[in-house]
Amino acid sequence: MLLPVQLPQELQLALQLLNFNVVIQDHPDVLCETKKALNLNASDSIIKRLPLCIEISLQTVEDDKMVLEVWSLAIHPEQADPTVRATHTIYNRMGILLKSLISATRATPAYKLSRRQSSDSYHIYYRIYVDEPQTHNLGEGLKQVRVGQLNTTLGTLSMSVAYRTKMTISPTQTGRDTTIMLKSDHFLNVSPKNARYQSNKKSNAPRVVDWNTPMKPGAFADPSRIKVYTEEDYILPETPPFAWLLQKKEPVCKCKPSHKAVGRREDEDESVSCTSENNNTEQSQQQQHQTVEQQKSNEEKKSMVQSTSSDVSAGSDSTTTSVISTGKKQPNPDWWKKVLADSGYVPKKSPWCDTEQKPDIFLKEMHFPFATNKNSESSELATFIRQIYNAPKLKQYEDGTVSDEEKPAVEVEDPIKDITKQLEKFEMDLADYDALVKSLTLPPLDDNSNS
Amino acid sequence: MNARSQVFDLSMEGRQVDEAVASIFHTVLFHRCLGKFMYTGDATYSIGTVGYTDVDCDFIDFTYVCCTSDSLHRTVKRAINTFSEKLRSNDSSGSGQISLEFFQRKKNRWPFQAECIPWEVWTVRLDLITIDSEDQRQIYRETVSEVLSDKIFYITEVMNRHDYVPKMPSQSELDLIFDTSYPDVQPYLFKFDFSTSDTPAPSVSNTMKKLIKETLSL
Repeated sequence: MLLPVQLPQELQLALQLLNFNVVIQDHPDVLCETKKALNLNASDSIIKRLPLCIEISLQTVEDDKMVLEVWSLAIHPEQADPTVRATHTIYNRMGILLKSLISATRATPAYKLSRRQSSDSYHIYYRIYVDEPQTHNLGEGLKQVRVGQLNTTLGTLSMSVAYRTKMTISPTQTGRDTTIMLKSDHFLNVSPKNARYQSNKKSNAPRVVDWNTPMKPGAFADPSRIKVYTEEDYILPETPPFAWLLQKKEPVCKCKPSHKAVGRREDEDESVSCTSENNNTEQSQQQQHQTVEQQKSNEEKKSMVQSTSSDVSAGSDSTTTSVISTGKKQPNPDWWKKVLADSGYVPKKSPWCDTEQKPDIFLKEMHFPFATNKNSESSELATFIRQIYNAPKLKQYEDGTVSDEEKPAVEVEDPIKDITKQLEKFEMDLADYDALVKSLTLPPLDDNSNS
Repeated sequence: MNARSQVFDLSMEGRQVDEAVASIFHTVLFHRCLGKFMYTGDATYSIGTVGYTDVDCDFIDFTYVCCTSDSLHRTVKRAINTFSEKLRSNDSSGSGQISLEFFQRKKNRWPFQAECIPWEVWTVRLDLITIDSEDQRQIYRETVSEVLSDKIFYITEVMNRHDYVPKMPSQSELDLIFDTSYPDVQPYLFKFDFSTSDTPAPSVSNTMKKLIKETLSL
């Protein structure tokens, strides 16, 4: 039968013995169990019933059992020492034996476990029996220690303990290696932290997006809710590129462009492929497209005439055009606005501009007067777009039909001019600023040199 | 008569020294303490009882038993503290030893002082180590505990040998065997002694000093 143990569980053994000048608390239930185990008749001697053992075991909440230690009290009559007469010597030695027992009980692993027992992990139980100590269920590596012995005229009383050293089902040892082996940078590419890091980068650097690889869903995203892009999503909308250059109400330009005019500057293959890719585009749209390209090439010619050393190279123009005209991987038609803003370009509103564009957004994006990087690719692109954007009116439109749309354009222009003037003023006052900075920095320098 | 000597070699962190030494010395003292003698005649007496207290260590995963006696506890603590502070101080090389010595007095003829004859000496030699990581510290906390468990078992084994202990004295000679200054327990006469490695090894001058001192104290 197993009984729950509260604390110093081994003291129960000591109750077989008298209190040899050591204060030992009695445990009535333990005394009762011991008497039951000994099953003594009035005439029997306790010596014949020995060895007496007490087994301490652990039981987890999952009903796993483990015997932790066995304390045994045995007497060896053959080692009797008839010379020991002095009762007080036995008495003192008995006291020492008890003290050894008490000290030893704190040194076993079971004591530490008994201090940590709780209702949700395990409990410690004891069992008293009269037999040779059953040490076979203490597992491998058990330790046997003789706590003490006492020579008496009746024999040698010896106290010993055998205890388990390998706690294989100890709850403190289970589940140590259950953590998933996961590289710490496993989620680097899809983690939100990474996205934040990307967005924190220099905002005016053009963001490189690889449109050839499809977007990957996030690590914990529900795949059923992700929109799957098909080939159709990549096909350009029905509106032709550079439609914003043309007036919506106006009919399509009738003058047919010569293909040579376009092909002179553009790569022939590029223009062919673009037509084949947009094969669902109608004929009129193709015409529009070509019109635009012709217009653009005219513009380029003009700029070439104006300055041959212009940084707007024909090569870069043609590349840009090809991207725009194929348009296959370009879902956002307003992307060029960003490019303009990135390059610090301050556009002048052309009467041909799409009236739906909000000047407010433009104004916001324009406030980077010092961020202009003339040498960057996007700056070249911006210059190019600016030239298209500020294309001179075609003669056919000069009949005043667009006069209504010029009004908002003027409003947009004013703050831009202000900025330009301001910049010019700053440029002119540069000498004053230099003087100011010098006056601020020089005196302390002098002080230093004096001192 | 030569004194029995037991030596324990331990290595641990500085913070564990006090508790480790205390656990060993208190276990020894617990075995070497009796209840107060109450003499009813010169040779007849009754013995009081000794209570015991469990002490849980803070820096070692260990519990030991000591006599329930505040004054004895203070005496032991003071001695160990002095030693451990010296051991852990900056000018220490990190090793030293402390011993608990049981002795009995032998009366000498006047004007000589009573002679102290040690009969049992328990020595703890310590080497301090430094631990870098918290994981290692946790492991060492248990390692030291296991070592101390072994020492406790060893102490109980030694205590149960039939070795010499001074005979129970008559009332007049009680002070030659026992320390009667404690109100609740009556330990055999004992004293602490320690040395750390910063104290120079016995050189000629030191030996001379000691000789002169001893001669003067006679």
